[in-house]
Amino acid sequence: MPVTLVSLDNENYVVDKEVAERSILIKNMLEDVGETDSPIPLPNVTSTVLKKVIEYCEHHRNDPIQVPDETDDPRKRSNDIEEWDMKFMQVDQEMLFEIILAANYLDIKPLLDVGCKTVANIIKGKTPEEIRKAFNIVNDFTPEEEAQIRKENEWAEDR
Amino acid sequence: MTILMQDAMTDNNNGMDVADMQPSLKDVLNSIRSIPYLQPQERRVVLRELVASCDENDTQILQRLLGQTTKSGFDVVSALPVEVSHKIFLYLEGMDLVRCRAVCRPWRALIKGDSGLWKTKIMAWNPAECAILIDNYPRSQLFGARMPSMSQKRMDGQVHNDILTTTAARRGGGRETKREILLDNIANQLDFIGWELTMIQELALKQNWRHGRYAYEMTMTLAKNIKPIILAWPFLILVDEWPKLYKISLKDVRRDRFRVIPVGDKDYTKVVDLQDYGSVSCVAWDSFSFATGLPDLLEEHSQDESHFPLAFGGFLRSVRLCNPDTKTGIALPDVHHSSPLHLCFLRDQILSVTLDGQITFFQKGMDYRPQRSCTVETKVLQIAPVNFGEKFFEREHNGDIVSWREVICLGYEDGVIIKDEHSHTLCHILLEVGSKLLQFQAIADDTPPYRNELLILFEDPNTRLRRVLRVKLRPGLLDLQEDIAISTEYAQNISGESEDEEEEVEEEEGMGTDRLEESENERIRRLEAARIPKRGRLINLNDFAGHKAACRVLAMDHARIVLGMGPKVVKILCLV
Repeated sequence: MPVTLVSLDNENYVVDKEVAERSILIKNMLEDVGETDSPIPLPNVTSTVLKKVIEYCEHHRNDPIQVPDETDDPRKRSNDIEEWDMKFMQVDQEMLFEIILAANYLDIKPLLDVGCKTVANIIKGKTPEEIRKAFNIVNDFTPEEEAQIRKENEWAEDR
Repeated sequence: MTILMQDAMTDNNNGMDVADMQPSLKDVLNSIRSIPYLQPQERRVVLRELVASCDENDTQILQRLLGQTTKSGFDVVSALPVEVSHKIFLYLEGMDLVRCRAVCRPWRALIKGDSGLWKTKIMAWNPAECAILIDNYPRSQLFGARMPSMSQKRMDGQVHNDILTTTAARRGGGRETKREILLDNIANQLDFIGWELTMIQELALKQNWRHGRYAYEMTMTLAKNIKPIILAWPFLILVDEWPKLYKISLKDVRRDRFRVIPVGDKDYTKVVDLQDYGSVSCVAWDSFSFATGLPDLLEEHSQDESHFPLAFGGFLRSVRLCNPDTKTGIALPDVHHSSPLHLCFLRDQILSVTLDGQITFFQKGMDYRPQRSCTVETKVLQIAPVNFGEKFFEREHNGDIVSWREVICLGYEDGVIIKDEHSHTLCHILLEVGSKLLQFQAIADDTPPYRNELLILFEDPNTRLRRVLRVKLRPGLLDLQEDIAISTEYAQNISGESEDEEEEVEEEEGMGTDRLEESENERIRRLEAARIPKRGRLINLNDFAGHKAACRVLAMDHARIVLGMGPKVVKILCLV
């Protein structure tokens, strides 16, 4: 049975139930209301982002549902992203940000994970200055703090 | 949408100069939504007001929203909900986190605010592999109960069974929970410095080892000529020529960062007279019982030398030691022909080398009976055991499967030979032509990344510079099919960058199976290549101008090097 999703800017998207249920939020909503034809409003997601998210869910519609395990593996690795996901995530940072936000709101754990890994990969191996450049961050430390931090991190400067 | 909301929120915080006026986000949003109903004139006023109340960050966001800036990036990490940013940090390695702390204030605060983050990162390590934890907390607390006592292990086979069962038990279930309980216990200690600091110090230590740097030095001036020395953090045990045993606590010294300790300082030192030993020429200890037992015993029974799980060799042409199980002192019976030069404790054996090259093995136990002995032709300068920690290796020798996890290193004038307990030479580290080996130490500590490293102090004949060479030993890579001198991949590893410890282990296993399929030619080529000596990393001792010629390495462990400067001055280089 298809489900209608409504974005913040009132666009309607009709998707298969199993695709929509990739989102735990929607899954729970559907379980709560039971069989229904009424569209599901998603007041936190714009249509451009929702389109992207649906694309992801379509591609991963047959993945086994991830069991939320309490003991997250501490050796989290950011380099095990699938090729399709990697391509999917090749978007500008604004979009990346929106996707992560939407995944968090819609409770799509695998998408949230891929988003976080993508950001982590941008940070990896960069010096503080390179990180600032990548994210357009202004260095807001006072000169004294800066000197202090430099001294503190002296050992970490070479790789 | 979210950005707009944040805008409004920032407005809230910055724009209001009256503290008790805290309009709700909803009110502000409602007011903003009514802008379209205003007159164009009025709208302009509102917009100007809005822009005026924006800070630098808001302006950037505005610019981005209006598409006015060419810079595409923005601070995704701070903009995301806190729990999501923490998720991102979980995917980063320790070194990346350290750099992230230096990016900007919001990031620093984010990382600091996440107490679970650093603990999770340390969880990913074995706590026993974390040198800082080893320094600060008793070994027994980290490793559980004492290892099986020496008298319990007799036959070779049995010994290996012991090892296997302990290893199996450690690998068994409940390990994660155990580790968690352990870490919780540590975190509850009063003097606990926090996971973030522990992790950062640990990373600094590793980094410093990699680059051969030391962070600071400490000097002690002593009253007597110092001979043998043992460093078992936080204690430095010195034995002087006419035997007095000094136990110097270095724990508080480290907090003071730099300090000269006079020998008489009661706060730091304890002195014990060792009568009956004559001049002491060498000292050895069993690293495990030493680390757990000695410091306390020394405090309680400072007059009773029989409690030392230590062995001394001296002019009386004997080796005396203490059996930690029976708490009795014994003289090893068979070191009579000349005075012992070196002693070393292996897992289940004690080994002594005398001036004339006689090596004797004693079985540990109640009576420490001599087992076998042999004579070496080259002059042995020094011996040291290398313990491969939990790793355990097997090979075929005369049709039998022999297992081992410990090897002996012998140093002679031109280099170091590493032998296992059962066979002949395994590998051979030759120094460059002409350089002279002065001393070496094996760091027989199962603490990565300093596990099984060899520190070699040698002298360059031309410049007379003394340098420390650091060589990493990797037992999994040694081909033990034939008893010939080989030093294969381990030498290649020396020059390569240090890698992630885990990856190294995997690599080792992979290479092991590959080798079986290797053609004979390939193997011979390998052996040929292996004979070329390669360099390790150098730790330059240049900073000790004026002392260069006199300095000798007295002791080492995973985080420091003790140098003797002349007869009475001891310097400690710390890598953290």
